[in-house]
Amino acid sequence: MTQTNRFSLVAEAQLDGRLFLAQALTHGDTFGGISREQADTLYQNIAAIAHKLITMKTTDLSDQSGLRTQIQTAFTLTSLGLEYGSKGEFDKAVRLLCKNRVVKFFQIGNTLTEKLLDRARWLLKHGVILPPGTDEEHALGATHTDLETEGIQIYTQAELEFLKALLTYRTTIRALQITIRDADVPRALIHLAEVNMIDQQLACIENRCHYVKALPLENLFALDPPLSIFPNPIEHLTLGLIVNLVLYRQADFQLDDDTRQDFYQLAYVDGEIRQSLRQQLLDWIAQYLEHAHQPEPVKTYAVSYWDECLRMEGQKVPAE
Amino acid sequence: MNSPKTIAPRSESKKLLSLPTRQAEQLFQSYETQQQLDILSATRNPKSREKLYYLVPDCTELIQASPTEDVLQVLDTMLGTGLASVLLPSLSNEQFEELLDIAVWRDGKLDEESLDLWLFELSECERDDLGRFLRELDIRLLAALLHGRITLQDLHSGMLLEAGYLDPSSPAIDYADERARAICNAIWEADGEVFVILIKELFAIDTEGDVDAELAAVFDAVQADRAERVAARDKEAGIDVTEADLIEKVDLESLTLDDDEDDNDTDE
Repeated sequence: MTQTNRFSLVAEAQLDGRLFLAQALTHGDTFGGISREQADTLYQNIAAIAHKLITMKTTDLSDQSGLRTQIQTAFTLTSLGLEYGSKGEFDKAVRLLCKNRVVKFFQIGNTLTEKLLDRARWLLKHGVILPPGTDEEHALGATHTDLETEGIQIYTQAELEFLKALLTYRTTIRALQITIRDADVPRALIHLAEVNMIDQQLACIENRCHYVKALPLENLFALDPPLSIFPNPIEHLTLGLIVNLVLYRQADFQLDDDTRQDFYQLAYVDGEIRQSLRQQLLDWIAQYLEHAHQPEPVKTYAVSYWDECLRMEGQKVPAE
Repeated sequence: MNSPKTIAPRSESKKLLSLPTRQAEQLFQSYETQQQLDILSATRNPKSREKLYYLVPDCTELIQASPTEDVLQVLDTMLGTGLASVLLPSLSNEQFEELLDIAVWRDGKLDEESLDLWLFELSECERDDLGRFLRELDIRLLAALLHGRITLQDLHSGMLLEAGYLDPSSPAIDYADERARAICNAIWEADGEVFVILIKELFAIDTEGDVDAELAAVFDAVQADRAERVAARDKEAGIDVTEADLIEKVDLESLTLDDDEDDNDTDE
């Protein structure tokens, strides 16, 4: 009888050299902190985690991409956990690897990312404004596609991709953005700094949700054309509110091309918003949210978001 | 005795898969069993691996010497088509048990959809093979799964069963769907004793005051037995990571890690 290789499903997997875990192992090897035998044992233990994860999670073992995802997840979470536990110091990481079970680092990485995944799931389910009469029960059973068709998404398409990528421990961003505009194809998480960035990016989308839901949205679904046809409906809604406030002194969202042009002529000089008007508007939204009892992070975000909408409008209207 | 010629398993695999079937069979059969296994192990695409198994007249020895996950990977490519029943009989009883412990459990919980799919594949097997596998299967689990899909009409079912008058076509048994009927038929044809045990288990669940509690108890017991088997197999293979380990969360606010040079951290 031959020796059964328990990790055959992980046989071809390689640790990505960019992972903190791989760099810590190399560091240990270079500076004598980890012997060759210890390194082999560590690698086997990491492979065992990947193997267990596959047999636990994968429905179809013949699905090669499913296997790769689980292997990548095992390596990524272990690496993130080690980076967190060692505070990013290679010497400490080597000592920790020698003194603790490797699965402990997987657990740390898993705990760190699971919180982010929970928030992404919450946003995918609740980051939408549903038409009146859509009962909660229906909304809970709805798919992303249902929500996209029936409601107004608070996250943009690029943010939807970001949230979906996060559910497979991947990211699409390289820098924190008020609204995600620059997105890459999903790539595996490599460093803890990316986890922190994702944490802040999620906070941006969450704060936008709170900001939007604090607005007077009663007639939102009576707007013509409907907001759902716009690629970035919340930016259009915000701009509608700004234009109505400036031109008609009322909190409304209806916006057509003529009023948009009027607003541009009045508020912009050489594509730049007039500073006094900009400040008045930013103060207005801050005060409005203060009255709506929104917490400080929501106010701060909303002010930045309005500022960004004003800046974008300065670029868009002349182009159109 | 001459030692076998050294081969490069990966390139040999590519070569075999590119040859016409007859030539590939001759070449593959010219290798020692261990070399054949090395080639199979180096062939990570399950469809390609399946082709290699068919290069010998009877692949039972190769299947039984292969890692169960590798065999399951091949079977997964055919699941739901009934074709897996061609390779299934080659599995050893231990492999079959291990296979089910992987295939029908997800995150430590029973995946009823997968189990149903596997039962369908099993019902396509020759009756002798099915009988062998049924004896490896936890019949309580089978009863819990089929409960609600196979209904015994009344107390007379028990009497009919005792008298040996109950079979799958008996009017005392109602089927919710054709797959449940096919599974029941296959079990009866494969092993009459297992059929009787299954009906008794179904009867026991039905006659419990609280059926839901009884079903939950059955699932809990089966789950615990499976966890024990998996732990024993892992221990034998030198795997010290459990499914519970992978699910466990840590308190990031009060993290304790062993580090000789850090006074702030304490031993776990």
